[in-house]
Parts: sequence; structure tokens; C-alpha cells
Amino acid sequence: MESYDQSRAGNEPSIPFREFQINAGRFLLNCREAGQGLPVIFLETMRWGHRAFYDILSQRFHMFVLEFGTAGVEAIEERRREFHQQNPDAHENFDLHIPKLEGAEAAVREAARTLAGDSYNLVGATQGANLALRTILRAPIDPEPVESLVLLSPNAIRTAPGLFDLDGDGWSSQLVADVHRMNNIGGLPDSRDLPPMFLPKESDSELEQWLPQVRCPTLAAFGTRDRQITREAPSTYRANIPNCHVSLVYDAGHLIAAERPQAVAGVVSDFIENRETFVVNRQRTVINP
Amino acid sequence: MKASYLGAMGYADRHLFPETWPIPPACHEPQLSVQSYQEGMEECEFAEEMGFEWVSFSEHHYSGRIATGNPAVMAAAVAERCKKVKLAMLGPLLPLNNPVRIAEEMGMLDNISNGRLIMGFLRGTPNEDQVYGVNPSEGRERLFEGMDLIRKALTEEQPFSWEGRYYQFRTVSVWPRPVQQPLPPCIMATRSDDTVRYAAENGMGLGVSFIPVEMMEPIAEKYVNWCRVAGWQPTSDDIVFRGNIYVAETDQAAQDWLHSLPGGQPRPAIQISRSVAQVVQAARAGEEFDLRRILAGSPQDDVVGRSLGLNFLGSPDTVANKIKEYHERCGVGVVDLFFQQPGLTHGEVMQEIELFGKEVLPQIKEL
Repeated sequence: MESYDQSRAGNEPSIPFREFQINAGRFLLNCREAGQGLPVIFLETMRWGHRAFYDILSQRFHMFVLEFGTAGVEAIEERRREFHQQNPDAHENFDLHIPKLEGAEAAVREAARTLAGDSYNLVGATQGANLALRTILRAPIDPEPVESLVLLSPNAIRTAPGLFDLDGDGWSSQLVADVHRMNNIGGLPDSRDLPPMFLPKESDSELEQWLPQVRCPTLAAFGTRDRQITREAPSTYRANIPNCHVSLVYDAGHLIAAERPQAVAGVVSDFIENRETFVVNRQRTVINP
Repeated sequence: MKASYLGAMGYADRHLFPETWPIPPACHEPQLSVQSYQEGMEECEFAEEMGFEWVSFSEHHYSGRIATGNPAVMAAAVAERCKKVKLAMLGPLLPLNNPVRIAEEMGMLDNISNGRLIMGFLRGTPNEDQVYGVNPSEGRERLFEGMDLIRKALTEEQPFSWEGRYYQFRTVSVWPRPVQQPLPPCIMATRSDDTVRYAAENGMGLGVSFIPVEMMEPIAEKYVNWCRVAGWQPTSDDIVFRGNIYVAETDQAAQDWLHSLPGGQPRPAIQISRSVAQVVQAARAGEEFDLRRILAGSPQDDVVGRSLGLNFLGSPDTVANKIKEYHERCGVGVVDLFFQQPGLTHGEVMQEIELFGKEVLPQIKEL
């Protein structure tokens, strides 16, 4: 099947993003900013082919994309390079040699406050969604400045067994529903560039137990062909987070915002603007007034 | 093998209908229509009594020949009359319908029948693309998305929203869930490679209609191979063939009946304007169609439509042997039979059901 959304998304006007770096905790984060309106902090761990998605969102919101895990964690990157030079085939042990994720949640809070002030909407994709969730739960602030939390394909809870196969084909098929779409997405980053500190080795049962503590309106969106989570993952969020809505994105794998940017941007925008009332359709359907 | 009775609920005077689809509502006489539904349900009951294990229902519109525009309504009525047979929805025309509504109907049917539902999905005949204003070029993708949505709607344990290409629902939480968990058996009615493959990859059965055994054989072969690749082995209930039948005491009697029909064969089931048919086919194939270039106007009586023929015609032995051929060459385990041939009265159909039950079923049951 063709990449229907992506081909149409290419026609969207692109708002240029301003790129800069921001210090937060021990992290030096790359940040991209564009648009006007409600502030949206978007967490990502790699550049996953979200350009079309960002373009659409930045036409409605003030977008700040914070990159964890690429140039933002220089010390880790340096050690990763050293490790690969010394152990070119030993990916599975890399995480034993690197710093852990401690402090990333506080860094998100700090960066978000610096960029967006006292209230904002927090969105994360894939490992960025895990980080967004952990930020809410492990770095609580009262009152909570997050007006809405959007988790796109979080995979820390009810993780599929066997993640991650980092070979070429396995890597691709774990990310997208149809590997032929990768050309439209602009290719995928190399699996070696993904910092292992963000890789969920197994389901985080402790995080799952904390889900009832999430107090902000939450949208958790998953591709119907996501291979990184078990079948019951979406309903786990809905059942445990008090004000949570689950959205299933048809014919998308793990990278839903890359594969179906218009569909995902549509539901995310509606949720950020209307929160739980996004379930009410206010589009006019009159044909001949 | 199992036999299935297609509950067509044909209008008694269907042989008097005009040639061209759609049949005008003016042809409908309420009392005769009421009688026709009663007779159709009696046929279902009698089929169950005679050993048929399934009764099937099919969505067709604007024609009293198969008068089940909403097959779920019909199946619900028959479920109260027939207490043993499986209710095979073969099926809703998915591209035309709201998939969530179909999921709700399936859930209800499985509950009121206490787990006797068999779900089936199909795209529909070209004329029916006109019924609810669906663009024929979108039918295939609507079918695929609709099937995925229905399966999710019947299996997800919590409410969800759906962001599809053709469907968007912000709250889906179907009640009741099916009795058969996680899902009732599903059958995909198709002949096309992509949909046959979809059926195999999603653990669904295959339903094929009205084609000769030699045409069905390669389709069934592909299906079984794709099932194997997908890691499962279809059972005999997973391959269904729907065919037209006329069974008589002797081969000669069956031939005499056939020759008594105008043109010596059943009339075409659906005849539509040639220009409309060509536009629909072009749209389904994703091709451009320039009406003015191809046709200089389409006369009112320029219609197309062919007779589907009779897949099973003859004495009980002849019919049984033909059914065995579908079983042996295609792996068919369920034969879904359309008895209400043109011109036949309710009484004649009942006689056929009895003859089939007594003399054909014993020959195929142990296969």
C-alpha cells in the first residue's frame, strides 16, 4: 500500500524551524522551534522522519522539539563511538558502559519551563513518549504545568518480547508497517545511533504500577501494526490512567507520526486543543445548505 | 462436509420483475412480501431439520431476489427459529457500511444465538457501489480498513478512537462482545489475490462464489499456501463455496426444468446499464473513463449482466459428485447453496431441500 499521507503531506507549506541548543541539568539539548499558539514540548530521541508531522503541528501550535539522545548527550555519544571502535559487534553490551537516564526527567521539566513557561503540552514519540511519561511520574510538580500529555507509541510498558533486533531488516520492520514507505519518510536512522539508554529491554512493570498517578488528560496513540508492544498495551493505558484516551492509528507501525503524519497530527491537535472533549465532532457535514 | 442454506428470502413473484436493476419499489406488494419472508424462514427451519449445519445471509440491495438489504435483521429473526445451525453472515458489504455498526450487529448476533455466528466480509457486486454513494475506486481500501476496525472493535478491552483513512471514530467501545472468544470464525468472500492473501495472513477462512471448480482450484491453492506461510493450516470449515443449485429426482428432470427457462438458463441475477457498469469497473480498476469517447449515449435498454449459471444441476448423485469435486480439488468443506432459482415456488424449494437432505447430504457428510 502506498504512503498515502506522506505524499499529501509533502504539499503542506513548511514553516522553517529555528535551531538552537539549551542547557538543562547535565544535558545539552538540541532544540527546534516554530509556530505560534499553545506551547507544545515534543520529546524525541532520534530524528525519526517526523518532518511532515512537525510541519502540520507548527501551523497550529508553538512547537519546541527537544532532542534527547543525539547531539544532546555528547558524553554518551563519545563513549558510544569509543565502544564501537573497540567492540564493533557487541551492541548488546553497550548499555553496560554508558551513563544511565537519571536526570533526564528533571531536564525535561527544566527545559520546558525555560522554553514555555508555567503551562505547556507535553508530547513524546516512541522512547520520547516513555520519557514524557516518566517525567510526569518521576519528576512531579504541583501544580502540574502539563495541560495535556500525548504519548505516541510508548513502548516501555507491555513491551513485545524480543526487542530489539538491530539488524537491518529487523530494525526496519520493527519501526514501520511497510518497509517500502521508508523512502517516503526519508530513510531511517541507523540503529546504532539509538542510545541504548533509551531502549526498553523489557516491560517496565514499576512504571505501569504508577500509571494511576498521571493526573493530566492523556492521549496514548498506537499504530495498529506496531510490533514493539503487546496486544494489550493500549488498553493498559486506558484502564490505568484516570483521564486517558487511546487512539489506534490504522495501518501504521511503531513510527505513527512518520507513517501517517496527517492522521496523527489531526488527533493530536484536536486533543491538545480540546482535551477530553476531542471526542465530540464539530465538523459541519451539511452537503447542500 | 457441511451444507449451508442461503437464506435469500426471495420475493415470491421475483420471476415477474423487470430485467434491469434496481427493481422499482412499485413491484412490491406488502402481503406477498410478508408471505415471502415467512416462507423463506420456513425454508431455513426445514433446512436445519434436514441436516444443513449453516444458514447464510448476504447483503444485497434494491432487489427482491435476495431480499436481505440488512442481513443482520434477517439473521436475528432466523436465530429465533433455528436453534442449532450456525448463522453465517456472508456477508455484510463492508465498503458500504459503518464498520462499527457492523461490529455491533455481529456482537449482538453472536450473543442472541449463543455463539453460533460466523462472520464474513465482502466488497459487493458493482451495482451495489451505487447504493450508499461510495466511490467504487475506494471500495477495496475501505474493505481492508473496515475489517481491521471490526476486528479491533470486537477484541479491544477498553474504549479507543480510530484514525483511519476512510473512517474516524473518537469513541469505539462495542457492546456486547462476542460469545466466541476472541472472535467468531471469520470468512473473507473473495477471489482477488490481495484479499485472499489478507484472509490467509489474518487467520480467516476463504469464501468463493459461483465459479466453476477449475477456476476455484488455483484460488484455493494460493490460499492454502499463504496460510502455510502465515503459520497455520485451514480446517475444512475454512473453505466455503457458494453455488447455485437445482436438484431433481433425475438428471433428465433437472435438464427439463433448465430447458423450460427462457433462453435455457437462469436469467442474469443483476443487469445494469452498460455505461454505468463500465464506469464502475473502470473506477474499481483505478482507470480513467471517458464516457463521451466510448459511448455516444447509452440507450435505456442497453444493459449488461450475465447468468451465473448453475454449479450443481441434476439428480442427487450428480449433485453429490459435483460437490465432491469441489471438495477434492479445492478443499471445500462447506457448500453454501442458493436454492431459490427463478420461477420456483416455495413448495418446490421445500421439495428440493428435502431431496438434498435425504439423498445428497448422506453422500457428502463424511468427507
